[in-house]
Amino acid sequence: MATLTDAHISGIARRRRIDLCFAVAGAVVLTLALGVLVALVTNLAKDGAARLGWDFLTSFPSRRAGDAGVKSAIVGTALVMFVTACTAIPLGIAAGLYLEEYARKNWFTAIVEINIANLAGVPSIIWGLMALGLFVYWMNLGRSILTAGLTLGLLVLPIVIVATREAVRAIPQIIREASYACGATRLQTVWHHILPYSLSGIITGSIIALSRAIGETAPLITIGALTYIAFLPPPPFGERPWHYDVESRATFDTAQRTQPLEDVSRDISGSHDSPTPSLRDGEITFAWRLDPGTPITQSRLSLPLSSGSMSLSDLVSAIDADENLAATISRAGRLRITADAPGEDPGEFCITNDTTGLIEAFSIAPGGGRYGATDWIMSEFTVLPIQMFNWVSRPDSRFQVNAAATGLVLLTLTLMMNGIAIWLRYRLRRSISW
Amino acid sequence: MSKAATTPVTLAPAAAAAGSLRRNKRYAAVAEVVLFLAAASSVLITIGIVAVLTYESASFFEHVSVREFLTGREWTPLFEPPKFGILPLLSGTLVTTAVALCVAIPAGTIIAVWLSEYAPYKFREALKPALELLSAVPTVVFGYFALQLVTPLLQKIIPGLPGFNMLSAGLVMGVMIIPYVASLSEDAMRAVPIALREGAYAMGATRVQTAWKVVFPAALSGISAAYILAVARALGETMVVAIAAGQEPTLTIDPRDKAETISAFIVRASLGDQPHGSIGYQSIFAAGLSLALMTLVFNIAGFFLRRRFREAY
Repeated sequence: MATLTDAHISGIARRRRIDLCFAVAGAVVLTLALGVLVALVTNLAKDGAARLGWDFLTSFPSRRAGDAGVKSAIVGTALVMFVTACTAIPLGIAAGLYLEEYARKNWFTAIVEINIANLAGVPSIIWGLMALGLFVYWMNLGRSILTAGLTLGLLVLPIVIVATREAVRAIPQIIREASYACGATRLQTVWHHILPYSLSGIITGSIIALSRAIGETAPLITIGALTYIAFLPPPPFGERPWHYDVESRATFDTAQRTQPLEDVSRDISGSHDSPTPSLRDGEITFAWRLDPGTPITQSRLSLPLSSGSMSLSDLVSAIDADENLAATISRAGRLRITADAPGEDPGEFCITNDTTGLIEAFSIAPGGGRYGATDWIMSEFTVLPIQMFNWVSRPDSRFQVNAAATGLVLLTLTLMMNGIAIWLRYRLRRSISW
Repeated sequence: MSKAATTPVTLAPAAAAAGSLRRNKRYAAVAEVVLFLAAASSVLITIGIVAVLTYESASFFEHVSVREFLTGREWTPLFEPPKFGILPLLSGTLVTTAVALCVAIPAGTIIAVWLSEYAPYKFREALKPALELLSAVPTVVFGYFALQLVTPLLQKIIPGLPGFNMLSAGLVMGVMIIPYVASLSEDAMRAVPIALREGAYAMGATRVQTAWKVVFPAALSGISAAYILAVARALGETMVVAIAAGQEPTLTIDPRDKAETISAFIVRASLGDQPHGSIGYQSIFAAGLSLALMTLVFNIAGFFLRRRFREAY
């Protein structure tokens, strides 16, 4: 047996040093990564905490940064999450149960499994494109809460499926055998044993899925979630008021006109903060021009909107009576006012505000009566991440403060949901002993 | 057996029992169909994605040749005159991905090795959820972080760095996918049998030698799956680059420049509300199809690599 020489001993010492170095390096890298999380939270808090208050949570967005708030975004997020949960959780549990308890080992099951793994890896922006082509245009669901909820529900579906499968797989086989031995059918076994025992695992997975969905921005931008929403979706059975709705989405008839104006429309999107004051007086001023440089055309129209008793057809004829204006009622029951420019071909037209040269297209929804129970689901909406993105893309630093405050709200929600999920999982692991 | 089984056992309310048995069987059959449909819906979703992307892209490629799309050096589908060369978007996507991987792969691997080979059990149980929280932060918040904190910091180090740049977006994106790389790699290393480690320690190896020369190679297929899935994540990441990298298609490989990725273009074009059926609208889907194909290749490779390492031991 060879004796240890000095060279051996120094070699061992060197390797021990390397070992120690790596132990330190690993701890440092981990601390840095978690330090980023801390930096991110403190940075948001430093920028936005002062802005975060009751007013901020209960105000609609505004052109003035100091008055703007996230009321419509919070309501929108809550409603979209409700639809998301109703889509992803039942569908995910059912699919997970099928794959664990029913599926035979055949080519179809193999395809479904590969498919779910792949769906989990599809970038969220691609989900948005799918939703735009399928839900918005093919199924004609519009840019609604329903479209958003379905999109996010399908996006997080793989998370719920995987969580369900893992929870179900953890249940020992003897439970199933005992149930079958008592003469239970497969459904009874699943319903009375498998589902209850795996429930906390499924709930954990579902919370994580929803916390992922709540922060998703890209797919909702693709389907056209609006950034400026100064109204709440219609409450079930609520009274239907006269409703003046500024849309900043300008569409023009020819390609040449679309271009410069589209940029303007992006700049101003979200910058209208209230219905024009003249509407409250029952009088709307329409002013527009086709291109910068051409003269402004104006029409002034008196409408007894405040009484709420004007029928839709009276409104249409009042507008049609004006030589420059025309009114149409869309399939969704919205009144769209279009204007002809003298000497130009009429197109779907937008109204420009003559003092600032901004573009507004707007519609007036008919008033009177009551909403149905599910009208809200077809309503346009905005959500917290979209609102934050809108504010963060503005050069004005006062809006960055709003973005930070919105980020804080969003971060609190997601971290809270994840915290609950982690705690549930921890409790679950301690309490279960098969 | 046969005799005992053929002797009928008479139960008192035999008819009622048989009826409820039949009903239960019927419920069970209906339930199986419903559950099957739920599982099959995932395939329908995939078909939906593929159909939408190919249908709209097909109309796009009626106007634009594949050759122009793949080799053109300018991407201005929303301006006059429109140009449809995807190379600038591709360069933006690849550069931000490369920057992100330069952060995520070394950091993620070191954290995974440390957690699996060094950290005491209690430590690991506490730190893994903390890492999960990092990956739970919404991407739009990471975008704000890149634009408002990381870029100003970088500007102090690199003079002349523009306010929008791929470096800052890529770095933040890298941090964002660290937990992903770390947790998948750690799973792979933990799956390596303890006997291999004991063998190494018995030979007198230190922890760092055991980790890098025994455990790491044994877990390599799982770790490479983690890397590949991280690439797919980085390619498709949208909000950070849309906010912090500048929204201007630029053909460049310098991460200090501002540029636009495929995903960021889709966001910008969607904000402008492209009329349905216009070439601008179709260009979103053509860009999306390219992105989907790129991520698909990585995702499938990752899926099979992961499956291989799971079956290895």
